[in-house]
Amino acid sequence: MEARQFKVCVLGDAAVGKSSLISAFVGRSVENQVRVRSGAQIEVGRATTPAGPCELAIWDILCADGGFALDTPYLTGMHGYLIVCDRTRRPTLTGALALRMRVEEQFGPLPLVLTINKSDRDQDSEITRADLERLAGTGIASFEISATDGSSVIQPFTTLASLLVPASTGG
Amino acid sequence: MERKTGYDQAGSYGLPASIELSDAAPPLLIRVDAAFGIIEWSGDPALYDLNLSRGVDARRELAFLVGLETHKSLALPMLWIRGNRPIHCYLIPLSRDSEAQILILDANVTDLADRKLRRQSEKSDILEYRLSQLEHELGDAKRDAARASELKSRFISSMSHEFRTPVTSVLGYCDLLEKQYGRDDRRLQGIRRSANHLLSLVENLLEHGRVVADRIEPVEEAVHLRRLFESIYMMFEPLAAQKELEFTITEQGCEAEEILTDPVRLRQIIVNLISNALRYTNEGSVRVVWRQRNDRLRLTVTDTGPGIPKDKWEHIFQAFSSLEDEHTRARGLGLGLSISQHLAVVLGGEILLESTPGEGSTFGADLRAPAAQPALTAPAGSGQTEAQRRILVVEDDMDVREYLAVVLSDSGYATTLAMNGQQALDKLQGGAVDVLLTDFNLTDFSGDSFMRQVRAAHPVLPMIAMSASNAEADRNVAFEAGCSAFLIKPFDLDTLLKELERSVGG
Repeated sequence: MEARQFKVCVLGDAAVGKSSLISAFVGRSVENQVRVRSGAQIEVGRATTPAGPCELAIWDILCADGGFALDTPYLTGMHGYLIVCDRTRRPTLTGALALRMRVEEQFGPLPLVLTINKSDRDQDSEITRADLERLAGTGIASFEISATDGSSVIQPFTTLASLLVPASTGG
Repeated sequence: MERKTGYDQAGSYGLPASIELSDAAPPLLIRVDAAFGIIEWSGDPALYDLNLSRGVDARRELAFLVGLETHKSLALPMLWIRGNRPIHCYLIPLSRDSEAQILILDANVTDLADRKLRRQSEKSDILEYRLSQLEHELGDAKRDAARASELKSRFISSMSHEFRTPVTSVLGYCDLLEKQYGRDDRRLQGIRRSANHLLSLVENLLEHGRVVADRIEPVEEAVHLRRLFESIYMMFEPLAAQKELEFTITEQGCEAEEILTDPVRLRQIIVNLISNALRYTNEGSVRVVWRQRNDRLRLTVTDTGPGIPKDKWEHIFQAFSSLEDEHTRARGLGLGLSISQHLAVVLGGEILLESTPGEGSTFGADLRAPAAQPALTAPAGSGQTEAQRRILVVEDDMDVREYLAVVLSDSGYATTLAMNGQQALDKLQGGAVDVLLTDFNLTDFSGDSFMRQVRAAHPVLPMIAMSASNAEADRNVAFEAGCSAFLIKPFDLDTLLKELERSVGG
């Protein structure tokens, strides 16, 4: 039986590490990554959930300045999304929460996972422990990851996949 | 000599002129069934590093199709797929059996010589014929739609701004004068009645634009139903009294203190139904009955007007239609019922009608109305003992600015005024401010630029934007810039104070 497929969009401010996170997850080396400035890049990743394996069509929406309108056709039909923010820039967390609100206004409450990138740069962190505790209180699943050294890059995608695959669905 | 073909013209597909399709690989056209099963294709999949098989789900090979539907057309320019190959993709629904065609164009302009050779070997007249048809469907329709949509958006936005700002001022000053002369002053009642009428006409026209554009997204928040109906009673009572009509609003039970719905749209539905009833009824009564039970709000508006023949029931729900020629000289755009019906669907319900000519009509609304979660923070209290809040108001319209100064000072805020963005930035530098209330369209700054400058210098200062335009884009920009609320003019004082308290107290 073929694995179920889901469309997942990776969103977030410019230079927070969206493309690097996807590359780390799908196992593509950064050297092989083409630097593109516009459009959307689609990668396919596989995730294993308690209900069985699934295939994720992962959309990386590429904009020179990181901004894009939410009515972009690239988001059409997305099943869930992942917002990336940068631990060394606190405004990217505020931006992530605002982005979540905008996405919910337009698409309704879709499954979401928040990732806080650059966990390897603890000394430069602008996002505090208190911020993370407040975030935990909102009920959004969040992970501290490092796309640079690859730590914890799998969990956000498997968690999102688990939210997408209904528990009742067999493998 | 190079011969240009149907797919040589990038502009034909609505693509940027800089993309030279003449130097790209030939297009690939794939026909799929309703479940994206591949039926057939024209062109060479190998040129796009694709391996297609009939009967196989196209989404297994083309992951960017996951989540899409074959009956909805979609243009996806500049997709970077396997091997970092850029393509343009168009999903084109076909009329028969929910089939669709997927048109893939090469967006890669490199490796020109190789691509020219490949293209010459792959050209076919059939493909060119199909593409010329697609050119017609996609290119013209997309350009026309984009042009029309842009013109409409501009028109709606500018109209919204032009009308709302003066109405804000008129209603605001009406509030102030009513404090001095009382709500019974017939001169003030006349001003309020006309301002409300003007506002409802503009609201309906604007909402009609959004209905046609299919861009209504409900913005839900907690709504206190009893207060809402009280304010609506206050709004219409003077008009009913002037026409010597009996006007009542009766509650038949309300399970939830507050419900979760879009307050603007709910109010608009109720106002439209009552306004219609009052307009067409010249003697007798207009009676409103409502109840909230089992997560539904049921509302009926019964009048003793001329009634509506059954063969006209469908007609009156169409835009720009009314029965004024036959029964009354009442004014109206004929948009109220059409919009109310659309809004009722947006709010998870419907509008119902019962009518007997010569006896009257009953319009009903049955809407989704779940109980709101209790508020986490206490509402603003008049007996608050905290230190006085300092507010900076930035507004270029003098009348609105002065009105805000008066009502905010009356409400206990230490108010500082600025007439433009630069003045506001200077004042922010000079003194402590607890909350910023700013117009979105300033004379010297765009709302986005102003709020971002404020945010950069004052990362935690609560900001509330006011705008006469209710464009979705403006709202998004404001929230992105860090605003906690976006108020559409004209707003009532309660709404403003509630948002202020939420911003500074939250």
